[in-house]
Amino acid sequence: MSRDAKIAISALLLAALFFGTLKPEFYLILGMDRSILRESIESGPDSRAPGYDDFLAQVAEAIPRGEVVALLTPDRLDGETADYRFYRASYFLAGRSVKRVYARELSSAKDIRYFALWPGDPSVLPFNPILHQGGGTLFERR
Amino acid sequence: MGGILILLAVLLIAGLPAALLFDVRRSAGRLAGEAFLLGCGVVSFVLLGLSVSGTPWTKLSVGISLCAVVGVLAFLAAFRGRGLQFDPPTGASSLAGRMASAVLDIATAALVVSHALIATLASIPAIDFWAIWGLKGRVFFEHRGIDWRFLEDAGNAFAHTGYPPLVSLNYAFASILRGGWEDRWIGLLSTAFAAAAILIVRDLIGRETGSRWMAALGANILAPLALSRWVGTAEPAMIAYSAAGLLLIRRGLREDSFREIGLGAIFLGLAIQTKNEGITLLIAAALGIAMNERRGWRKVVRLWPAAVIAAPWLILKERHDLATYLTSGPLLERALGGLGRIGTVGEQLMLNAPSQQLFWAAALITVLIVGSAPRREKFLILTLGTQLFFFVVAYVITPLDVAWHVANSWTRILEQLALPLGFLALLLILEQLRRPDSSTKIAEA
Repeated sequence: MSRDAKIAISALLLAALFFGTLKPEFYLILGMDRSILRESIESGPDSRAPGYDDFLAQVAEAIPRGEVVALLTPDRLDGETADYRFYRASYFLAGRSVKRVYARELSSAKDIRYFALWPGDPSVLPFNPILHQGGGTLFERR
Repeated sequence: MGGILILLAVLLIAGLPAALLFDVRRSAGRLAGEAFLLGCGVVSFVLLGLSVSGTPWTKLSVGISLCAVVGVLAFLAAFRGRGLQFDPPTGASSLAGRMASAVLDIATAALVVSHALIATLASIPAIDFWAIWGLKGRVFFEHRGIDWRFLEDAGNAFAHTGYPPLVSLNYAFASILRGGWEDRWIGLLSTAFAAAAILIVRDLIGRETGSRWMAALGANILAPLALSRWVGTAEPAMIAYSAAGLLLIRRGLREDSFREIGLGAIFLGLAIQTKNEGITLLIAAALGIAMNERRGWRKVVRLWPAAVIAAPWLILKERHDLATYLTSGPLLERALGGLGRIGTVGEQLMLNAPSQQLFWAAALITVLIVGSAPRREKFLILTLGTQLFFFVVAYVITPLDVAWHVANSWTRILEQLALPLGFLALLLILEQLRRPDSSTKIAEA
């Protein structure tokens, strides 16, 4: 292969490497209104259950660290949604032990003091509601 | 934001004595990159040690312990190392070369700044952050130590409780310094891991090519491979540790430098402390070293620092019976059953083509068409190939749904191989451009 051909192929490959590694967002971010993107990102996790994050943040303030809190989960809730709510609660309530308790298992959760229900009818539980936030309620067994 | 900048400075200082223990030729940039990566490792071991000893993490306990460890390392470095001596990778260059490299370096810095802007726009939204890496960091911080009860609870298996702790421990460390949990500015850690890798790669390209502007050009081209989109997960750290480890071992093998190989092995050990793929990467690197030259297996023992670094967590993981879905359960049975679905795995891999396809095509074509590359670069090619093989084996033996598993990890874990592969391809291309009538000069230099 001639020297010119080698140079041409190498230059092409170098250009391909350069354009191949480009990530457009690194250039776009500099010229765009980042506040719109920020709002979009911030609402991302919450969009699956609007208000849930705020509820969990309030619950975290109401329950001391080290306590156990039951996340009451409707029996008919689909698995993916139930998982999402449990994972999110685990993150917001870090420092407390979060247990997923299905409604049908409520009678077996005798040692648990706090129950978080979101969303749902607060009248279904025979405990004292200590917090209402958005669509959620936190109960305390006394 | 000020707090996170202090954190980055503390991590850099914490790793500086460890980096200086290795008397290797390096630029100030490479030293900073290595110091940061080592600092994250030192901090993770200090927190792990305090936790195992039952000492609660407080600013005081962590501060004293960290100062003691860094002090001992500094004492050792004062005797063994060369101190703060810098050895620029390239000699004198023309004014045009200096200007070109300055412009390219500014462009690379702009990429890093852009990544930092993206990484810190808002609280990190990635589910792998708030359900795995960030969750464990937050749980550990709230517990003031590793919360073994949380990790041992089968109900928390979703958080991949058996995954290595380096990234989560560094998140906890950031919170200890700050005095509270924070999940927006902590994204800068992801950017910092990438910046560290870029600084190391820039130095190594400069030493291979002897050209300042080529080093700057190479760093600019490869920077996006280090600047991962997976902010808040362990991926940015894994990319940095695996690239640093493999590229330093490659250099050590070429120069027959114990120190370079030893430092590379430490980074591979920290890769194991970061993600489970680090274990297979170490095996792949051992195979690569063994096959690199005649009697190469004798040099495999030089990887011992990686095993020493990896051992504590692996022992603790077994002791606490922490879940790792891929290796738990009837492994042999799954492997035999998996043979029947190799076709499905192949199909799913094809369906989930990697991002940056032009890069992958160009890099692979370069490695293949530069005639002597497979012979000259046995270590890197064998190591990357073996690790790729391990990735595929994981899908064959996975207990999860293959389609789901591939769709949720394949393109992401491939990025761990991109930086070393890109480095190799770039060097081969630059070699051709500089010496078009010779194909072997750089590798044999």
